[in-house]
Amino acid sequence: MFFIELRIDSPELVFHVTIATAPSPSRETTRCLTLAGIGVWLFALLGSGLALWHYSTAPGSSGVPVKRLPASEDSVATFGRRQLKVFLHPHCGCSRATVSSLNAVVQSGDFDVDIEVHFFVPDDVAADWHLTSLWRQAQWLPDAVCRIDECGRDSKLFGVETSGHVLLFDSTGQRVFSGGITSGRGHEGDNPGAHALTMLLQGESVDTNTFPVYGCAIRTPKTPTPGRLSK
Amino acid sequence: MTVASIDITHVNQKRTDQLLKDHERKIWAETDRMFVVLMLLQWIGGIWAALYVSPYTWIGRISTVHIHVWAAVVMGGLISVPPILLAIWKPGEQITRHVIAVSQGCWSALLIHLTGGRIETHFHVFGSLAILAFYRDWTVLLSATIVVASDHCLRGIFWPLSVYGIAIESPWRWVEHAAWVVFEDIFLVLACARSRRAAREICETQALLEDVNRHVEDRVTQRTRELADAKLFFQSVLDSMDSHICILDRKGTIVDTNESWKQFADSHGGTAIGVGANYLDACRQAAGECADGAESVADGIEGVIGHKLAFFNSEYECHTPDQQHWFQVSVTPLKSHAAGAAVVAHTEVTERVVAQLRLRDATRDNEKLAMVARHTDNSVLILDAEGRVEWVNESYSRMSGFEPADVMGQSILKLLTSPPANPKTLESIRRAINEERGFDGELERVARNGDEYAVAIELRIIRDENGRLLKFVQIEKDITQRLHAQAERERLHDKLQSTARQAGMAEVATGVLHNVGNVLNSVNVSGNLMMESLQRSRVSRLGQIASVINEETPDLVRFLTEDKRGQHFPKLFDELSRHLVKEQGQLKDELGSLLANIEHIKEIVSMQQTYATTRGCLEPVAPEHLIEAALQLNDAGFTRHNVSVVRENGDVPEVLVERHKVLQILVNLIGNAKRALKDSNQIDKRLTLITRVDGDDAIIEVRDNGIGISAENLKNIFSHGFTTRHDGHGFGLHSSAIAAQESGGSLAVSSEGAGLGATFTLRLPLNAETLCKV
Repeated sequence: MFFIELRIDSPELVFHVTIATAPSPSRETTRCLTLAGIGVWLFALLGSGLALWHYSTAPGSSGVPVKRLPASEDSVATFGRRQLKVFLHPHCGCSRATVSSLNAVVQSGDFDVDIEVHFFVPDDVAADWHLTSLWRQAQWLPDAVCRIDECGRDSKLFGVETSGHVLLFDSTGQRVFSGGITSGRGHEGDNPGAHALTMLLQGESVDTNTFPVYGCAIRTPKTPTPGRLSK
Repeated sequence: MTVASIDITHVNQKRTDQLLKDHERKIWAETDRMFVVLMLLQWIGGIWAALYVSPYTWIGRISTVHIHVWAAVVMGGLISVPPILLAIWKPGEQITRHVIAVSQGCWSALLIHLTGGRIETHFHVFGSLAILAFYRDWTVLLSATIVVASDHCLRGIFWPLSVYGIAIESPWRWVEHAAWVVFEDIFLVLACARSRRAAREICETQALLEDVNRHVEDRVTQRTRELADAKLFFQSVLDSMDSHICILDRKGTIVDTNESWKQFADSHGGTAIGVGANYLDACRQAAGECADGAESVADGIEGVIGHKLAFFNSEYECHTPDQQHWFQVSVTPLKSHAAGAAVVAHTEVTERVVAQLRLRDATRDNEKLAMVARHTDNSVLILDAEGRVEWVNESYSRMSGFEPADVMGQSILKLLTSPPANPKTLESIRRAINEERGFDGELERVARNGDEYAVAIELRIIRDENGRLLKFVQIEKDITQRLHAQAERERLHDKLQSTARQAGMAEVATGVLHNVGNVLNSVNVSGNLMMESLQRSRVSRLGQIASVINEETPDLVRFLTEDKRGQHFPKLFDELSRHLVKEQGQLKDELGSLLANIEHIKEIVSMQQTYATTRGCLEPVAPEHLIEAALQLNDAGFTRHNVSVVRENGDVPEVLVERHKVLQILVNLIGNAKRALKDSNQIDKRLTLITRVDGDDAIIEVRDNGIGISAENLKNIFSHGFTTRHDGHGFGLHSSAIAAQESGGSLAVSSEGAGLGATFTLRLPLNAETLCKV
């Protein structure tokens, strides 16, 4: 560092300019400053990590899922059969884990259940708007039927608001499971929801059949929300 | 074991530690730089992963940037930027690599989270540890391990599914994960230790090598210095030599020279024979006087370089227009030099060669002189500085009768006094020896057998280059015969003089007779004319007239006035008087000419007499007057033969000559011209007399258009006794030519040929000395 010293001697108004260099900080001071900086950095890392963790563990809206299979869904084809409804936003990245988890559940046994995956497609979008990697991933679900949920009518019908919401109805049309089957947004792996769904499909009972859903909101809110409107 | 004076068993630990530290620092810094790139790639990769997996978060058809993307950007930057800055700011520092280790652990946690806990992403942890092992610092592994373990521990406690992917049965599952990390750490630490140990060994070896190298370098430096000093010394020695020395490589290119060569090259050839130039080519391309020598030198050099010759020496001439030069060139092979093959040395040996030539000439001269001294008929004695005999030749012994042993070491004066010689001559010789000067004289000697003989002594001084007296050389020439001959010659000379005097007198008489004869012709002519004139004279008519007058005297008046005869008397008297006056005048002229001729005869006789004994007296005479006088002496002839005489007198000053000698010459020339014109058939006979000045001489030309002189006769015209006249004697022109020479001039003749006239040209000096002898 250096500093400039100006000195005026009156009455002649003579300027004296002195340029001097300040002594460099000592090694110890540098070390302390470095350690302090590292401390601040670690703190920032920790804080941002916690924020990220908080987001990842914050579930989406659970909605008000129907308790029974809606009448429009009850038909001869579905009569006396269990129905597994999965509601997905085709562009929700976090829902990949849901499909992976569902695949793991379905693969874990030979379950007699009709699986329908409803993909939200808003109006006035491109015809291939829903054809995402999630859609393709869902196509690989064994014995699963992928449907387009135009304008979210199905999700609204079933009272579902978050992508990744899974509903299981028994053969009588009674809802026996509602919620997510991932441990967090986009997190794959074992989780209580998937475990419970598997138990139920196996015909066993579970203590808890409602689990938080981690995913994007399916329906567009009526009030304007900051963001880009997809077309 | 030692290398030179270094003990290689003792390793320089301090240097080893320093090298190891530098090595590690270098590794740390390089690894830091590597992690800078890795951090950037991870950051970019994280952002990409976030964009790939979950770029947006949706609310129906409304999308916003997913928080994962922001996490990748912000947290990725938070994780990457500090270590990047530290790596740039403090590369190789401990804090830098630990921060990097912590960051790498954080990246593992973030990537695991961003990929949704994919089990494959966990491999990033093990990969990071392996890369961190590049530091070869186990403490770095510890930092990273702590971060990973902490992450797993905290996640395992608060969110186990995010880290394990399954519901855990035990809160200590993280220990298992950590254990696997530690497992890897153990081996990595071992590898680091082994690597560090190997590095230490390398550093030890390097330290040792450095010591050896330093020692070797010191020795090399010292040797180099010594070599440079030696080179400088030898270069100084070479530069101090006057010889022009250069070193050639195998191709004949000059690789080095001494100062003399450089100076010679600068003044005579420049770069053609400088360092880097091919000397063989330069020699072969030499022109002028040195071409032959240069060619020979080139052949010699090639022979030495090609090992056909052990060495080459030669002397050659290389002269300049104003001076002669000789040089000696020597070419010797260089056996132990990598860059050089031969050494060429040119030494100017002009002084030696000149001295040799002089010595050879002197030796040759000495041999010749020795030969001369040995074989000459003259006696040669060599005396030392005191005049004692050092050497005599054979002729001395033959002349004097004394052998060399009889006279060696004796004083020359003593030899000359035994028997006694002329005291005056001896004294002169003694003085000459004492005064260290030469002597020339004659001496009468008596040989050993009593025979008398005479010698001409020539005593000469021999001095060295400093003028110091070295020797005397005395040469005695036997002049006995010469003296006898001289006496006889004198006797004969007297006799000859007498005879010559008589012959001279005869010649003088001949000349007198000739010249007098020439004049006598004129005298004769004048006499004849006078006789004819007197014979034709009308004086006899006076007698007749007087008789008539006597007869008529009584009546003279009537006779003169009335008588027809008497009436003619006045007219007759008038005519007779005019005739007699004219006749008188002619007689007077002829008499004058006669008297002049007689005077001339007297002068001729007088001149010849004085010519026989002494020279005459010079007097200033105008050439035209001489011409007139000569004409007077020949005038009767011209008139009678209708020869017109033309005078062309230039502005010629008086000349100092013997008047009558020159007059005689002109009389002879004019007389010859007159005779030539007389014999000629020319209608217009003309004699032209010209006087003019030509340089320092006065010219008198006698030109006629008479019978001329043929080219054959011109050659001998002035020879004694040569004449083309049947009545001639051949003395006139000869004596005239001699007289002209004696007057300091010359007489020349020219003629176009027979019938074309001739011109005699008498040249007399204008500035002759006045010499008058009584």
